[in-house]
Amino acid sequence: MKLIKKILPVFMFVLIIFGLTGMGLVLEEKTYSSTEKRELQTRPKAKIKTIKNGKFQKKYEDYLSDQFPGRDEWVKLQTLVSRLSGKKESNGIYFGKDHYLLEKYTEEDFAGEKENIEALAAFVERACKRADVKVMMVPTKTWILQDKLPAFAPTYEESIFYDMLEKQLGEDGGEVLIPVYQVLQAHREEDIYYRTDHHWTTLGAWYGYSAYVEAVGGDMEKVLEKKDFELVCEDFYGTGYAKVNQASQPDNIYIYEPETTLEVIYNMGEKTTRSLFEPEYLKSKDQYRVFTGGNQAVLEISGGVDNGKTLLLIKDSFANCMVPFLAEDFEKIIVIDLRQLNIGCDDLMDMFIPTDVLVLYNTAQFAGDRDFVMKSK
Amino acid sequence: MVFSSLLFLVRFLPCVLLVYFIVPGCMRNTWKNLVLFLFSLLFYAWGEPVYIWLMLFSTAVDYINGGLTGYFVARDRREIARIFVVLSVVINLSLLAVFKYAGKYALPIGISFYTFQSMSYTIDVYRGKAKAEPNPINFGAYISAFTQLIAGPIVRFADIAGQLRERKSNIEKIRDGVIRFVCGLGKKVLLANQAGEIFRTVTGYDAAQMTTVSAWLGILAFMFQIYFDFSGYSDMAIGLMSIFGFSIPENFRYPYESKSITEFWRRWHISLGSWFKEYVYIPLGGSRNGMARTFLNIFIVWFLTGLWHGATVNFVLWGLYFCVFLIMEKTWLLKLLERLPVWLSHVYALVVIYFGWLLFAWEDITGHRVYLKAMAGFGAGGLISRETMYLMVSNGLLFLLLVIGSTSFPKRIAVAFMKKDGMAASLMQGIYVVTVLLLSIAYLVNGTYNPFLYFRF
Repeated sequence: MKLIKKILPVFMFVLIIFGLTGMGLVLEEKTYSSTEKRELQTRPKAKIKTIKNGKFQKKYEDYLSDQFPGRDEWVKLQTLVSRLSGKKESNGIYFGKDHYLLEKYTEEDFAGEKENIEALAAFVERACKRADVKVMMVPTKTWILQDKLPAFAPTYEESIFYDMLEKQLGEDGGEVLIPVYQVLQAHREEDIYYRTDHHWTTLGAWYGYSAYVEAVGGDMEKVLEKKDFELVCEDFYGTGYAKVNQASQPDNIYIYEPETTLEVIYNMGEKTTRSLFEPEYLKSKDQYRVFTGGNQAVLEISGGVDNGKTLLLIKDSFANCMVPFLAEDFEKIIVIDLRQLNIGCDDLMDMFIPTDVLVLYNTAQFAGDRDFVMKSK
Repeated sequence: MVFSSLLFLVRFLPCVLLVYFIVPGCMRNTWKNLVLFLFSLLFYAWGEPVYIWLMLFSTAVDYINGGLTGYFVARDRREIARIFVVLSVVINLSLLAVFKYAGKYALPIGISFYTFQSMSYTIDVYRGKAKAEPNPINFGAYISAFTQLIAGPIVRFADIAGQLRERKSNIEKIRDGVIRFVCGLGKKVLLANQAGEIFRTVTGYDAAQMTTVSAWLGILAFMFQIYFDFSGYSDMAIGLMSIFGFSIPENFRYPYESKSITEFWRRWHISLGSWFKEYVYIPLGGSRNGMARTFLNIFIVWFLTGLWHGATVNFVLWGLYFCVFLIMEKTWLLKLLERLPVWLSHVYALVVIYFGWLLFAWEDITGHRVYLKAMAGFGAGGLISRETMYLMVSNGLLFLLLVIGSTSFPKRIAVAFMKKDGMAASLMQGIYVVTVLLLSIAYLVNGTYNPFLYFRF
């Protein structure tokens, strides 16, 4: 008894450090982490040369942390303790009210807003002469759901972005800009953004869509008919979750399935399908890819309606869940993700000769796109 | 390599402990010392393999110098012995000059610490305070000891010479060592790093974000960061040495509890202060040769103390800043402080220390005009902002822990509790070790959590 008393702390210490060392040596190496979505460092081989220049040591330390026994659980423990200690954020994510995980945007995230907005305005001016052009800049979840932020939590003033946008688009501004910010702001009490992901939900996208149809003077009754979604997933854990590895409540994914059978050509003929959804992704860790299989360079959608109209949709991932709503309004939709493609906007206009153009981005993703200035020409 | 890394905790430390305790203690601990020596070289070589030659060179040179000094001292030829002392000092200072102050090479880790240990060796031998160490393994284990290689304490040879051959390793010492190590680890990983995060956040603010309150908080965070970082490291070193059966002197004694700057420097980085006192201040004549000479001696010591911390001007200024207060205290201020209420003395000491860290925080303070302007209340960010409020709310508890942790209060509670020495006390120790160790590991693992979000956009 006396001995136990003396050695208890020593015993626990030895148990932990030797236990973790032993487990690290025995456990099988993993090459990929599905929570962090990246390759993991495996045990490096020691060579005289790599030891001398220090590369081996660096890799070995990476290996040690990457392959640390129960790595994800340790991360969860840290996040938990850090929250208990009063921290309201982790890895750039705020722990908001009502289980919302909210991205923390800073000036740095919006560093490219001026250049990109100027380039966009120039493109809009050129394109307006050839088609009906609209611009929809979807506000970030954090900006709309500010009341869900922890007390005093700072976030980037996106009004700066919108002011700049209006100013740059000049007289066309009122014509071209879809007031998506105002629409979402009005419906912020509804589930228009996912709790664990930075994207808007299908409902949010529907509000965006209805604002678009209203702006182009389309049939609003049809829009209302489309507010009929199907629940396809009840355990969606998005990007916010991946960053903090923690969420108390998963999201639901709803989809709107167009009634017409479509023809969808992926990336200039890579494959052709009849649907805008890839349900197999619902079982993966990347469930948002259920919409059009994630970001594709080019999608050609046809078969929705016979009206002779062609829409050129220049977009980021926020458009993926809105495309199904648009599919039945145009004879042909060309969905372009400039970041995956090496063609500029002007060439795309020449190539597809659209009747309508919609530029749809999330504000932060638009401001953070480093290639937009080049690709907008 | 550093103690607060997964590499140390779950590879290096288990290995060295295993080998060290398997190897027999016969031949007056020579084998055990060999284990420490070899592992220390590995520890040292991990980061910069070439510098192992520097370490071996330094060890060999000091071994020979010390040996020859001892040889001639024993034969009463002190004038020849002195040559080797001078040689040792010149070589060590040259190493410092070339590798630390010339700025041409990457700084070899711990060079400021082990060169000072080396010099203390030859000088102690010369002064007859210690015998020259004939066994190069024992000497190597002392000079390159990984335990105090990186951040001290600077252990003088005289303090440890006997223990290299004979030391008692028992379960109480190991237990105390483990608890001490874990305490230091927690101070570094759980407190210093978090405080450092606040300082980094505030320093990263641009002019518009930087409010007066946040600027003051930033330096306060730095003040805690540097204390918990440094004293945490010393705790880990003392703890590890205790596990191996050594007792080495304390390096920090709750410096922020001081009532004067004189007291602060008796509580802060004690091994450096006593090194300069022993090997510079007293040899210069200390305070025995009149007022003017005393001031000059103090000035020299504090110039060197400042310089020891780094090759840039701000560190020298930092040393001289304290020199001014020390001289004032020596002449009149201490007498005045004694007549004032105790709390006022605390406030005085803390304020002086606080502004000291302002000098210490940046190598080039002119690059931080925005920060200083905000501190002075003339910043573009105003007095306080929403962001500052956020900073305070999310770190309120941390600041509270930092304040409590830098006083002797937790220690007194623990001592009172341990007096009973029953099963409950031991259980508490066990829980403490497990909690702090696991949390530290969690924070270290999280530090490398690096999700690659290719699907982000």
